[in-house]
Amino acid sequence: MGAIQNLYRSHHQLTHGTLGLLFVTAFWHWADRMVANESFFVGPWKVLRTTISLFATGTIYPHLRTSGWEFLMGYGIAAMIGISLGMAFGMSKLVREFLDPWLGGLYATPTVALAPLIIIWFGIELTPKIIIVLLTAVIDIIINTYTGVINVGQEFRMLGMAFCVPKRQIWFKILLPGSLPYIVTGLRLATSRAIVGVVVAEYFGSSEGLGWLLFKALDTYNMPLMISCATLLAGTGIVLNQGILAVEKIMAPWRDTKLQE
Amino acid sequence: MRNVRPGNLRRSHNLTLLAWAQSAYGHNRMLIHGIGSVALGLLLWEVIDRWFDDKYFFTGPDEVIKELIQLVRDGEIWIHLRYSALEGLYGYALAAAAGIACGAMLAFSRTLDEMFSPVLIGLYATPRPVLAPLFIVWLGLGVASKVAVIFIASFFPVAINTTAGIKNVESEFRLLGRAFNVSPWAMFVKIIVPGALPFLIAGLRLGYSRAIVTIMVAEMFGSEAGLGYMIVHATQVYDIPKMMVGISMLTLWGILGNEVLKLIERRATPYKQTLGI
Repeated sequence: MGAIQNLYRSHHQLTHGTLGLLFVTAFWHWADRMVANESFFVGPWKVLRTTISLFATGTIYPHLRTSGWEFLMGYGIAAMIGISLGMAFGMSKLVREFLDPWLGGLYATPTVALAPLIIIWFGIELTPKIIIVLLTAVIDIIINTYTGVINVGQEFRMLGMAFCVPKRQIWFKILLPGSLPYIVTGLRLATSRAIVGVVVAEYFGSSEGLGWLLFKALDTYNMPLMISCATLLAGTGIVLNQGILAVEKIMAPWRDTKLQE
Repeated sequence: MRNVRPGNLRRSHNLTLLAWAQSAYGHNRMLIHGIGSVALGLLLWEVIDRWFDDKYFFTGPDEVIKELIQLVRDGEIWIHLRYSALEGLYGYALAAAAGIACGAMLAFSRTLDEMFSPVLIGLYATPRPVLAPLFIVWLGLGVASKVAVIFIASFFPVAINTTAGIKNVESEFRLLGRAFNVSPWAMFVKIIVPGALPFLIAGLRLGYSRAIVTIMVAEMFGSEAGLGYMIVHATQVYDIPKMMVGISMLTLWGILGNEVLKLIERRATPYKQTLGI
């Protein structure tokens, strides 16, 4: 008994976390029992079995490849564009004054609403999907980089200028490292948005991908497949989020990363 | 003002007018650049439209405005606006209330926090379009399913930020309160609430922007009316002006709501410095 109590005391966070997860799963299972209608609601075991069989039969791999490629391309380009634009915003007052209204507008626009327009413009190949993912993801990265550059202590910048440090070194030795934690936050927030982008893009015209599989399941009322796809997408989101969160904690331990600003 | 240099002043004959113009520019620089940028953007948009000259492919600002007037005259737009506003308001209001309550509960009980925070953060990262079809199956094509999806979209940021805000109130302030034997009520009203408010409002703003996106996403998969429904149906018949009207309406809501929340933020927490957007 003493050993168990000690274990509980030293790992109570982990224990409570597991308990919470178990509690939610049990509730899910109980709800499934109560509903008892497979075309309406599906319990955790059935979802697990469906997911395993998707992998075992190999049907999932082409979809994973397509969606993964869309995500990686869109997100990668968004990261490049977002970080450079955010730096430009933070650095130049002129750029800021000219583009601020547009950034504010784009921030307020539900970019997923642009998806049908982009499909009309670029067809239903891979390109429009990458553009949709890019558009949904880029805004968080721009805004966070911008905030980061502005928040780098003005004193450091002044110090650099006072010592006549060349402009390039001010960028690479002061502004970039100073705003890095913010950039990582932006990258993290962008992952979940990019996944939304992938799903929405595939809704508006595609023949492959996790999102497409989800909508096919919806059309055929295949509840287990649908929840299975949803869980896979959600799982990807959670894993990416937690992974980048861990990086964030290493790079900027002084920041409270729970603040989702 | 800094554009007025002594050299300029001496050389200029029409000194007062020039100085006035320069100082006016200096004072309203931000506004002038903003308006100039919007005007330039609209002009560019119109030029691109003229260049393509294909109304099934691209549309200019003039056609969008014409379409908007047409839709207002028909009265069609009101149906969609009312439907989406109803969904958005119900979903967001419920999410804000429940989010603050649950967030506060987690912040005050450490066991609950440790048990459910991982689940909350996990659900927060879940992409919402994935949930929309499920709720349509469960709750039907009407308003209820959309309210549920919007609720889920905005609930998590509000709850997570409320918890973070309350937990982040500087412990020195709490200790100070305790040292001065402050009553629990005063502790809550004078120390915890002002300390947590900036986080809470940040959560509300985040939740709002998610709610707007989710109006579109939730209606996309099947609905009876609404702005998202209008956008998707306009796409299917290549009615690009109508689609742009829908998108601009959602954007307008986004901007308006964000400004209102920013105003509330400035009024409620003048002690917090706000930066950027």
